[in-house]
Amino acid sequence: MIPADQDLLSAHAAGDTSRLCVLYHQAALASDDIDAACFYATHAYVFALECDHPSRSEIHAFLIKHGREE
Amino acid sequence: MAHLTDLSRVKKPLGTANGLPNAHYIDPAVFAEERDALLFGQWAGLAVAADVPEAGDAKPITFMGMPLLLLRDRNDQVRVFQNTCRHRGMILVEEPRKIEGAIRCPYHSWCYSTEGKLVSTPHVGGPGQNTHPDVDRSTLGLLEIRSHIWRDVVYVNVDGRAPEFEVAMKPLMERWAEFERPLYHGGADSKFVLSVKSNWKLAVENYCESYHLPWVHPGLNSYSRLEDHYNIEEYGAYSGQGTLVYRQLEGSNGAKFADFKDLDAKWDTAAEYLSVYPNVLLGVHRDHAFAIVLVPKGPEETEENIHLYYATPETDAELRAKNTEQWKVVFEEDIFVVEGMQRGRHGVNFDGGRFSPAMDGPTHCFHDWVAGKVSERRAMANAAE
Repeated sequence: MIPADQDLLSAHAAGDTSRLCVLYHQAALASDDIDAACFYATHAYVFALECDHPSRSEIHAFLIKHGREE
Repeated sequence: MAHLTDLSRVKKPLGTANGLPNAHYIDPAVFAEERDALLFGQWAGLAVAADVPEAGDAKPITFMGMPLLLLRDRNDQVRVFQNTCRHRGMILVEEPRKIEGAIRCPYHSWCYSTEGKLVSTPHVGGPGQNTHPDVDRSTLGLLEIRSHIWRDVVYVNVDGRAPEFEVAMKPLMERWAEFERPLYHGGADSKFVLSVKSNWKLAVENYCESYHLPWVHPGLNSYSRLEDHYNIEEYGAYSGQGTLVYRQLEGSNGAKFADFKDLDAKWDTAAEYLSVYPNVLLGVHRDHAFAIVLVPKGPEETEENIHLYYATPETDAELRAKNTEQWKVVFEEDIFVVEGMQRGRHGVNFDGGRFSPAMDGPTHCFHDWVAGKVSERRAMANAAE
């Protein structure tokens, strides 16, 4: 469980992609483990792409830095 | 190899030919054969560009069983894709909607740009690993269908083997070169859909001849008599009819629609109605035009998508509504005919019928085209064997 679990479930249920991007991004930033952080950042990036979120480039750069994206 | 139907009598001259055999209207096997020969193998009408008016607008359309996605990309280009994810073949877009950023597959979230590029493959190399040497995104974009827009109608050539659109449609485009002007969709009140229990070809056949007008559209008799019409027959290309007595619609305040610019004086009272083979029906007048895209839903079911266009972006709303209603009445009057002919083709002894040598040339022209394209396809299949 991560702190934002209930918020995430609500955002998923509502199909609120912008909120999903924000919540997954927060989870990534809060994670001490790089693999866990990249997992959450992956989700944040997908939803950022879908809704053309302003943080898209930042998340993309994070994933590239850790060799997870091209 | 035995063919599904005998088309030899269809290819005879107008006066002695029979129409297409019943199977071309009711047999699923012939429907499938015609899908490949007449619709996927030619430039078929799919929709209109006005269906996706803004960048990011997406509309899924099932065309002859094939899931397609009509999409206006970020650069305002209208494209047609297969509505299928390159990963596990999932349908990507279920309902018409705006794509804000990328198209995300609802299954494993592979994402595509509105230009069709694959831009994200989450976890493809394992959790949090979004790349893999074996997954080359540059080769896994959405499969784009060859498309072309003319007079706002989006045409597709699914098999990719038809000549260039301008080559295939050259005779028609030359005929109406004067109408190569900007045209503007009338908006929400200038489109409607009719669902008919009929094979799509019967809608083409009925549309392209004027023989039925005094009987089926008696309201036209008052000013547009049968003798005011002429046949249009361009074998191998298109057919239709024209009238010499077109009268502009007037609103209660005397308003009329603006004319398309620089038309020859003959269009002051003339109008033409053409069946663009295979499945698009177009009409032009000095002050408005329309397009009907026939989307076959099965051998005996067709959706008619009707759109009206004007010479200017702004038009009188009352007049526009009146024009839509006028055409709706006319096209609804045709429904009992195409549905009646459809039911008639379950009469097993019907031989395809005969044509009036004077009046049915445009219909024969279409049957001749159908027979020719189906025969070409059969010859190719035979050669391949």
